[in-house]
Amino acid sequence: MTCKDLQDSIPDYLAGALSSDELGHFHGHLAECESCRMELEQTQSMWRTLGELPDEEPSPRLRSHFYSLLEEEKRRVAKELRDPWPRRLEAWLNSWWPRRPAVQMAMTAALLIVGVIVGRGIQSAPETDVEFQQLQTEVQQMHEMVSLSLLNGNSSSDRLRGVNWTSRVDQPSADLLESLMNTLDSDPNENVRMAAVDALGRFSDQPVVVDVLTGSLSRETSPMVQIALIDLLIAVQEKKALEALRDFVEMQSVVPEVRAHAEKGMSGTL
Amino acid sequence: MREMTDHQLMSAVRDGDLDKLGYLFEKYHKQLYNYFLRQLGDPQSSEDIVQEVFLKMLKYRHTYRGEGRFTTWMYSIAHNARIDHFKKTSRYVATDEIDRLLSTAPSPEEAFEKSSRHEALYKALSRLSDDKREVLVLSRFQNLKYEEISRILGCPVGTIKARVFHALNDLRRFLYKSGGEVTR
Ligand SMILES: [Zn+2]
Repeated sequence: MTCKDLQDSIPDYLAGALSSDELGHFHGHLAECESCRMELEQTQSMWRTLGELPDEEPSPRLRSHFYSLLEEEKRRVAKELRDPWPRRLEAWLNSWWPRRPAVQMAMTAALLIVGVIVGRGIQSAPETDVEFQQLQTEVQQMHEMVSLSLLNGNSSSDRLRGVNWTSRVDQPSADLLESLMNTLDSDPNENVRMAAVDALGRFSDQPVVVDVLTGSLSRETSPMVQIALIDLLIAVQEKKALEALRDFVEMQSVVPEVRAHAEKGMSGTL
Repeated sequence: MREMTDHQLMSAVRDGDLDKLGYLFEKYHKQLYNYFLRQLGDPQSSEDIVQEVFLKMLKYRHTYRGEGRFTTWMYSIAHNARIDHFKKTSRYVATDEIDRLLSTAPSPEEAFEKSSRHEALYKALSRLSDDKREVLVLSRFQNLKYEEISRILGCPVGTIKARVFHALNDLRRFLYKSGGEVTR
């Protein structure tokens, strides 16, 4: 063992991490080397001195603060469970959208007809502007309904179509927006979630949308959707969005490629 | 009832049994508090950051995978919270500032005798570089193995050990006057 080797193993020696074999070599060198003995003695005395520092007690404020924080989170979770979004959506749809497939077909056909009327309306100039605007509003409402109904569907291809339908809606209602955000947050299919990211990107001027995007970034597990979220949040250029990205890159579960992608994006915005 | 492991507790938290975080708080809050106190020297901010660490554990509970030890996960969060704190308070002391402090302050022996030993130790700790101090705190006070520290900080074990060694030498230099003679 050289002097350098001995020095290198001092931290292990102090932590009691040397094997009996290594300990033998360690003591062997010390017996022959005055300067290493001194080196160890000094380092070891510092190590021991540090051990004199007692653990300090935090104030009782820390504990009470923690438990109130925990209670707050428990209340929030309980409220979510009591009032799940899908049930509210279902109730809303029941009042609007017929249950029977045959009626749904008819409704869709009606939609097409409305489209045709609008098309003709533009060509042959409608009687009054008011009438035309009314028609347009109705078409928007129809688009919303179709989107909502599809978003609530059982098959992932339906839900994907629903997300894509939202691109025909210029000004989404709160319900449609909420449904989209819910899709992003909890749809089991990553392609659907991915499409939801794109769809929500069109409405990212609304603060609530940014909140949902940042929230789902912390929960999203699919690297593909994570990257879509990162790109969107960077494009949004909002303080909250950048903060969420900073938290995100700290998360242990993030795969290195995605973390690198986020860091690259963030460095571009600084 | 058998006691649950840290991993079982945190997994339960992740799966919705939030009360289990209380057990982890009782077990680790004092350790975390001292981890921050020895690096910041300030009880108030240390408590604030402990709070923040538990808030993050709660907020990111869904991301807990239970690979590796629970403490590795916890200290990774703590380490990042500490870095964030330093960023926010821009608490970086320039090197020549330290040298100036060292040359004008009463000799460390004097300081050592005047104030209590503990105070002197805290002062010396505050003069260490952030990197060295953190490694020393984790290994000496939090009793973590070098391998675990290497996983928390994401640097090689060799680097960690070298930092412990240099940190001890620096501390000695700050506490006693033998400064320049100590090899680094
Ligand atoms: Zn030697």
